[in-house]
Amino acid sequence: MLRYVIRRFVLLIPVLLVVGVVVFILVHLTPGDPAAVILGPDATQEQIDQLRDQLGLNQPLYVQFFDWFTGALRLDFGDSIFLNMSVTQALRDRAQPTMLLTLYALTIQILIGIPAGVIAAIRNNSLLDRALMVMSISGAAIPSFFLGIMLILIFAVRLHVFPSGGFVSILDDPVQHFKGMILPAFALGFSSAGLLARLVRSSMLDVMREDYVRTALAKGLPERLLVIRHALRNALIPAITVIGASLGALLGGAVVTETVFTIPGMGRLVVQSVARRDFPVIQGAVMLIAAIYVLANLLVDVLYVYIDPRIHYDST
Amino acid sequence: MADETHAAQALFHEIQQGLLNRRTVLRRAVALGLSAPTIAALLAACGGGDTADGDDGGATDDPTATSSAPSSDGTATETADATEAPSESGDDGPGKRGGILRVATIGEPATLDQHQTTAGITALIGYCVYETLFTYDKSHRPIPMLAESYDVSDDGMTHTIKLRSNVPFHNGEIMTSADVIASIERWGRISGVGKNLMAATESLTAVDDTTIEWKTTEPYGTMLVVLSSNTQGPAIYPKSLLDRSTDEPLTEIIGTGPYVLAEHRPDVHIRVTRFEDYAALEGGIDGSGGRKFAYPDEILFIPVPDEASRVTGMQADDYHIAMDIGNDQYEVLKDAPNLNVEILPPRNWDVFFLNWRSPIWSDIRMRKAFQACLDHMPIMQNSRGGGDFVQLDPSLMMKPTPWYTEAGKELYNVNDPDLARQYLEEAGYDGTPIRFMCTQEYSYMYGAAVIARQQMEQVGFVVDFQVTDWATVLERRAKPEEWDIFVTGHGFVPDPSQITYVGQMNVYPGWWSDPEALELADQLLSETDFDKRYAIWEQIQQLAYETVPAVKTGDSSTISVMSKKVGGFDAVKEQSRVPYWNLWLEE
Repeated sequence: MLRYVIRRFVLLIPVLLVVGVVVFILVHLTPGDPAAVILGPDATQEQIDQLRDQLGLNQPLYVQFFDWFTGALRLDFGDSIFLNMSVTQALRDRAQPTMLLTLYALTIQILIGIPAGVIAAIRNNSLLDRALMVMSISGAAIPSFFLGIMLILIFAVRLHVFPSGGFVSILDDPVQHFKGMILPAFALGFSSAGLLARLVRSSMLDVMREDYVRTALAKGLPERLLVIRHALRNALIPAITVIGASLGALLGGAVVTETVFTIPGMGRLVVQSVARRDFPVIQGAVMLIAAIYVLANLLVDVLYVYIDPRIHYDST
Repeated sequence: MADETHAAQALFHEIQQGLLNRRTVLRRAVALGLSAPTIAALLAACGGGDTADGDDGGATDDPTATSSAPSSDGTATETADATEAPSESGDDGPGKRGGILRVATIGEPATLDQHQTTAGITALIGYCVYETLFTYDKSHRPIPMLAESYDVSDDGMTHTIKLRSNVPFHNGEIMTSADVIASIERWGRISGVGKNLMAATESLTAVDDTTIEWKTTEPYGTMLVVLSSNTQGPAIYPKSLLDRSTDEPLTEIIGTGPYVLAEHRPDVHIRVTRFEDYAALEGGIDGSGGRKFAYPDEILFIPVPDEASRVTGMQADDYHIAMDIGNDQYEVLKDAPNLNVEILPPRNWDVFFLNWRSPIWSDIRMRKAFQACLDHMPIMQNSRGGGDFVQLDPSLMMKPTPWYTEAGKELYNVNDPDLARQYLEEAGYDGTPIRFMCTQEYSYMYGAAVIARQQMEQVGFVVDFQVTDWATVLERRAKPEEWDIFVTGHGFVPDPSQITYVGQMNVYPGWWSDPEALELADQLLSETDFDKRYAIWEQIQQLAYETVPAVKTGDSSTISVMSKKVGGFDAVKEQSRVPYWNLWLEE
């Protein structure tokens, strides 16, 4: 097991290398000049050239890549062109909102998705089943930014119960923090909850048709115990794959959600950095998100072993 | 003076580290023989830690500074009398002090260093913190701000500027000629306008602590206009700050303005707090100048780049003011019970630039064909919303300025497709595609471009319509070989020399280089007499219509969206940039 995990960690290196190269090329081949963005609309070409020189943007691309990549190997992603701080610092400042938002969204996804799927499976073909499935399909179909705007209109603009956006650190004021995070977390988590509910429902239905379930039922095991202890545990394996994969989707969705809800997280940093052509920040952020994605998948693979004893990774 | 500065700085550092209370500061400052304003500035820096001293922190808000006879070294009586200086109570103006004004901005400024950028967001926030020697009054004419008075010699080549005395910086130092010269020289090395001015400068010297003498090599007609600039203007920073920094963007911002930069968390907020020792002018508000009341305790500039989020935030009462709300939101927001939404006087005009270095436009008949094919109203309607938001007006200088002229109006909004076809035929246009750059990032640009393209195609132009993001347009428009037309907006300017393609003729993308216009532009810059300059300006505008460097479509208004809790807007809404310090919160 340990060997497997170590091997997966080693495999992270080529993945990040490829991501790094691709991102660097994409970012630098995109037209647009950070110097022009910084100097404002009326800057002269001379000023722009001067600033480009200062920023090292006039060096050949391969030199810039070499500088950046050797730095990245030492976990030094350079300095932001725009923000007057290192990329690491910029990402660290914005990690808390994004991590918490993703965590809350994941929680909402699980809290809604799994019970809804289980209930729909148990009450298969009932009105409740239909209602839950209509909800989950709607959830999956509504883009999170649209849901976000609707939630703002209802709960912030009309009812004034939650703020329309912004972020308060959990350390500064936990109450305001949660008030501010409920709407974005729900907007982000609801659509993946829909997907999860559908998946849990169908795999529950499969499991419930298995012989051992029928045997357990015949032996007189109470339904609740049967569902939770036997059926759900087996139905969860595909669900965990989806939850793990949705971590990546949630991080991606955070880009949009953070923009709608004005949350100063990594997602919005990426969007803003693209607009500002802040190359080092875009590169650093994409590398980080790629690494998180890969690590989340690794975590899922490891969790399989604990949930399903039949799964082994080591060749023994 | 240098010793005093040094001593004050040392004290200031101790205060910043929370080591001293007000009483200790006062005792030590008096013992050191610091000047009254310096002491008061230091006291302000300690905040209200020691109630025994009451409101003395506001002591140097000394409106008499401009009228009293300044002492030669710019310092006042050096005794503990500082604490007995007149307090500002009793003159709070029409508004209410207190509260935190929350402003939803369009995004994060690249820097708050005014010398570096023409970006509006930098100016909007920055001018709360620092000031310039001159600024604009309510009819957009230059008036003294940090300057007290001004004199120009008969030959127009020697400008003597007398500074106000006892104006403290946020770090406790008192502004002197040295600070002003250091700031202007730095600005003159960095900004385009500043470089032009410094190129024409023979000498810039301090006569004494509060007087500078500026000699130019030729008459410099736009001196005051340039020194009043409210984008990339010559903000006055303390020399001590400039001495320890470079020409790179400053990371520490210190000024003389009514607010102190207290906190800058990129993409979260910029917080400015009232400078209790601000040296306010006497009298009333006058445009961007005059008395600055600094009503809110704090102003919080919160970057909300997404317009929909700014709108919902205003509806939900999360912000007091939102910048840059599109005109299409007017109908949605105007009846909102908590908001004041109004259409502002026109402050922008839209313009298509033709690339004079592109072979396609080298024939004037081609340019005239473009000018003649455009029907301006549909373009304005699609870009700026039509109705009360737009108006057709040939003048490149807007009505509230004294520069308004209708010269060349017969060539404005020609809207004659047959004439355009005739020009194209005479020019022998062979169907070479016209490379038309625009962006969807600014909906008004895209809206204008789409209709102009239709109108061009109707008369026989072949258009290669290139939609990219704005950063790409900015990069490509600097390269003459890459484009033929681009569309942009032009903001309100108080002087014709500040129109991009007039002041930077043959430099600004498009490279208008009509020889006659170039000569007139030079005269416009050097002439000091208004009447003569006005006559020159009329000729330049006439040429702008006859030689077609660009085509102005029309003027447009934007809307202002403010919470009903905000007071004081009526007095300042004619300004092109809102002076936040004179707004207040009603609650």
